[in-house]
Amino acid sequence: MLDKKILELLKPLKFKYFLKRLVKYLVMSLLLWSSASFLFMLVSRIVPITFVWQKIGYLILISIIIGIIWTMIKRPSYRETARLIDSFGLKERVITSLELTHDESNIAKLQKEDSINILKSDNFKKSISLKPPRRILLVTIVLVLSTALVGFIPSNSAKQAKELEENKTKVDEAIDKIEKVEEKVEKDKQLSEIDKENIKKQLSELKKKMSKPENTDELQKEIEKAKKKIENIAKKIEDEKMNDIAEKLSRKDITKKIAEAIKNKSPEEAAKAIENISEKLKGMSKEELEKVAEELRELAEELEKNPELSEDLKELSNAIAQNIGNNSSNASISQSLSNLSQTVSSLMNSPITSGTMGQIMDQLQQMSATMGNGNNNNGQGQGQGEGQGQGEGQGQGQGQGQGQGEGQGQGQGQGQGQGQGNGAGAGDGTSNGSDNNGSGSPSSGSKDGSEKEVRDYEKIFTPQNLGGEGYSTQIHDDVDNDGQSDIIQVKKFGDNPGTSLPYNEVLNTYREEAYDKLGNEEIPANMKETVKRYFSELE
Amino acid sequence: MDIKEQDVKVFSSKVNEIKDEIGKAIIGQKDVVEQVLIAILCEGNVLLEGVPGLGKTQLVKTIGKVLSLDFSRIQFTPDLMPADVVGTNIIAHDEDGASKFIFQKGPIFSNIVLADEINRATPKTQSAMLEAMQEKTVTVGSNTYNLDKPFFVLATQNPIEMEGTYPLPEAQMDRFLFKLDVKFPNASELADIVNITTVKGDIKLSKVTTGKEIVDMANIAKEIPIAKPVMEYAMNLILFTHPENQVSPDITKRYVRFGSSPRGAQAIIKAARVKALMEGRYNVSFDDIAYAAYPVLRHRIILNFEAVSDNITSDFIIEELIKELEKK
Repeated sequence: MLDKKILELLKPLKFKYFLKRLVKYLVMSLLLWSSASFLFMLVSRIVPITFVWQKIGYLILISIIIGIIWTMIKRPSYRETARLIDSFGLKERVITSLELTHDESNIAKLQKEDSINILKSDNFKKSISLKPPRRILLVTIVLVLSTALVGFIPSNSAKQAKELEENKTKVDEAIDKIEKVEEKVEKDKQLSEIDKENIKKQLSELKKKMSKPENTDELQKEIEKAKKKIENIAKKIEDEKMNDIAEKLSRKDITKKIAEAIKNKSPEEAAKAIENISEKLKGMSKEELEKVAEELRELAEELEKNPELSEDLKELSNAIAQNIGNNSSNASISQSLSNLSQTVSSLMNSPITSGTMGQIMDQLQQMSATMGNGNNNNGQGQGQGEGQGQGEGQGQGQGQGQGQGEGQGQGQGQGQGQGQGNGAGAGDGTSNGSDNNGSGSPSSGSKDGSEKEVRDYEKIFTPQNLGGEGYSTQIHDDVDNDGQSDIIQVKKFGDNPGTSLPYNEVLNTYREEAYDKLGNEEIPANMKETVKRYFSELE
Repeated sequence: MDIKEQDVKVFSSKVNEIKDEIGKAIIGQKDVVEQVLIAILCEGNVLLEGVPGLGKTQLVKTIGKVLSLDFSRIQFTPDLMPADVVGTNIIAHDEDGASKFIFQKGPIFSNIVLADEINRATPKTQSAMLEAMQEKTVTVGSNTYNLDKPFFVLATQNPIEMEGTYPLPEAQMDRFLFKLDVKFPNASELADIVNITTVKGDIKLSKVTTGKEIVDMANIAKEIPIAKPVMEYAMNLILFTHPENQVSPDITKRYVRFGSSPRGAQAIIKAARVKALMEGRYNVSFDDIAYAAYPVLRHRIILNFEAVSDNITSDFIIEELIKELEKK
C-alpha cells in the first residue's frame, strides 16, 4: 500500500523529469547539429558540396529525431526520479523508500511514511525546471550564426557546387519525365507487350545512365541515342501497323491500289488511287455499288484498331449506300473520299509523331534540349567564345532584331526590301566557360584552365555567316506585269569567312538552328522527322 | 528488533537532553560533543587530540556523569605497565589462611575509560588495551573476563611535546572509531569557560540516561536502512583513500601512503546511521556519510612524506575525495 502510494506520488514527477530530459537532449542535439553544420559549411567553401543548405536542413531533422529517440532510450526510471527529488533536500528518503519496496518491517514502514509525508508536503513538480541549459543554447546560437555567415562567403567551390546543383536539377527533371513516359507506355493499349518491354528497357537504361553523375554533354548524347533506338522501335511499330492496314485493304478489289500505295510508302499514289475510286464508282451498277459498300463496311470493321480510317471507310460505305437509294448527287461520296484521302495521307506522313510514341519523342527532345543548355556548366576556369546571333527585321527600309542563341546573345540585323523584308543580323561576344551568361552559342566557347574535355573533336570549318555576320546582298526576281519584282535578301561572306570549330560545337549550332526552325515553320511532319533523324545520325 | 516511532522520538530527545546537559559543563566544542556521543552510540572508541587545557579530560568526565556510567581514568606514563591497566593476579589469603591467586581488576573494568595522554605509555602498555577496545574482553593468564556494557575508551593525545612519546601504531589507531581534533575555543567561548570555572564554582550535572538505555539506543541505530547508492558512495569513498586503486583521484595517489581499512567502512556506516537518527530520519543520506567521513578517516589515512612537507592534512584529503565523489 505504501509502496503503491510512493509510486503514485512519483509518477507525475517522473513525467516532468522526462520532459526535462527531452529539452536537454534536444538542445544537445541542436548543438551537435549546429557544430556539424558549421564544419559542413566550412568544408563546402573548400570542396564543392551540392545542396549545402538543403543538407543542413536534413541534418536538423535527423538531429531532432536522434534527440527524441535518445530521450526515449534514456527516459527516467522511478529510481532516477527518486534521486532527482532527493537532490531537492530530501536526504535520500525517496530512493531509500523505493529500495524498501516489499519490506514490511516497522522501520521500513516508518521510513516510507516519512517519505510520503515529505512528498505530499511540497510541490516538487515546480522544482523540476524545464529551462534549457543556457550555455549550450548560447553556443548553439553562435554556431548557427557563424554557419550562416560562412554560407555567404563567396568561393570557387561554392560556385562550382551551384553549377553542379543546376545540372543535378536538370537530370532529376529529366528522370521525372522518363518516369512519366514510362507510365504512358504502360497505359498505351495500342502497343504490344514486346514493344512496351523494348521501350521500357531503353528508358530504364537511359534512367540508369542519368542517375550516374556525368557531364551534361554525355547525358545529352545518351538521350539522343535512346531517342534513336526508340525511334527505330516506333518505326517498326508503324511499319507493322501500315503493313497490317495495307494487307487488309489489299483483300478488297476497290482498295487494292490504296494498299499498294501504302506498301510503296507513296502518299501521292494513295491519293491517286482514292481519286480513281471516285471514277470507278461512277461507272458501277447498283449491284456493284452495293457490293463495294458492303466490302467497305467489312473493311471498316476489320480496321477497328485504326478508328479514323475505320470511320472514314464506314462513312464512304454509307455514302455509297445512300447514293444507290436516292440516285442523288455523289457529293457526299466525294466528301467521304476526300476525308479518306486525308486520313491515309496523315497516316503515311506522320506516323511517329502521333500517339504515345510521339509524346515519348517530344519528351526526349525536350530533355535533350535542356541538357544542351547546360553544356558549359561543368567547365572550370575561363573560356572565350564567339557567338552568333540571328536577327529578324520587318518592314521597309530597315529592320532590327535580337539575336537568338544560348545564353545572352545580341545581334543586330539590317534588312532592306520592299514590301516585307527579312533582315539577318550577326552578334558576337564573349562567354565565360563557367558562366551561363556568355553570349552566343554556349558550345562555341573554347575552354582552358582546369576544364574537363570529354572528348577532342575534329575541328571543321564553320562559315561565319550562319544566321549572323556577313555582308548582305539582294537577288531580284523576274519583273512582273506591273514592273515590280520581289527582292530577296541574302548574305555573302565578309572578310572573315569563318573559323574552325570542334565538330560537336558546329553540330550543336546547326542542330539548334534547325530545331528552332522546325518549331516555327510549317513543315510537313514526316519532313520534320527526316531532319531530326539526319541530325541524330550525325551524332 | 521491532522499532516503533516512539523509540525514534525517544532517541532524538535523549540525545538532545544529553547534549544540553554536557553543554552546561563544556563550552563550545559542539561538534566534538556530538561526535563523541555518536561514537558512544556506535559502541566505538574515541581518540581526542588537542593541545593541553582544552577540556578533553573534562569532557570525558562530564559524559561519564551525564550518562551515569562507571568512569575510570588512567594517566598514561612511560612507566605504566599493562597490569596497571587490565589488572593482575594477586596472592590472597582465604578465611582458612590458605593462599590463592585472585584477579584484581584494573581500571579498564569500567563503562567509560579515559586513557589520558595514551601516547606517553610504552607500546606494550598501549597494546594491553587492544583486546579490550575491540573484543570488549580482557585476558589475564588463562582467564578471559568480559567487560561491562557499554564500554568505551576515550583516549586523549597531545600533538605537541612529542619527545619521549610513543606514537600509537596503525593497528591500534584503527581500533578507534573516531579521532577528534579538539580545537581552541573562540573568544566568546573562552570568556564563558573562564566565567564558569572561576566564578560559579562546581557545576551540578544531572544523569540523563543509563547504560542500558545507551545499549538500547545503539541497537535502534543498527536498524536504520541505507539505500544502495548511499552505501556505494561510502564504499567508493573508502576505496578512494587507497593510492593503489586505479580509479582513485590524483590527490590520493600523490599524498596517501596507506588508505583506510575495512573497519573504516564499517565505522562510516555505523556513524552515519546514528547521525541520521539523531536528526530524526529513518534513512541514511549522503550528507551523513560525508559528516562521518572526517572523524572516521582522519586517523586511517596515512599520509606520505610529500604530504607532510606540503602541509597537507588528512582532513584536506577527505574534503577533496568528497568533492570528487560528488562530481560523479
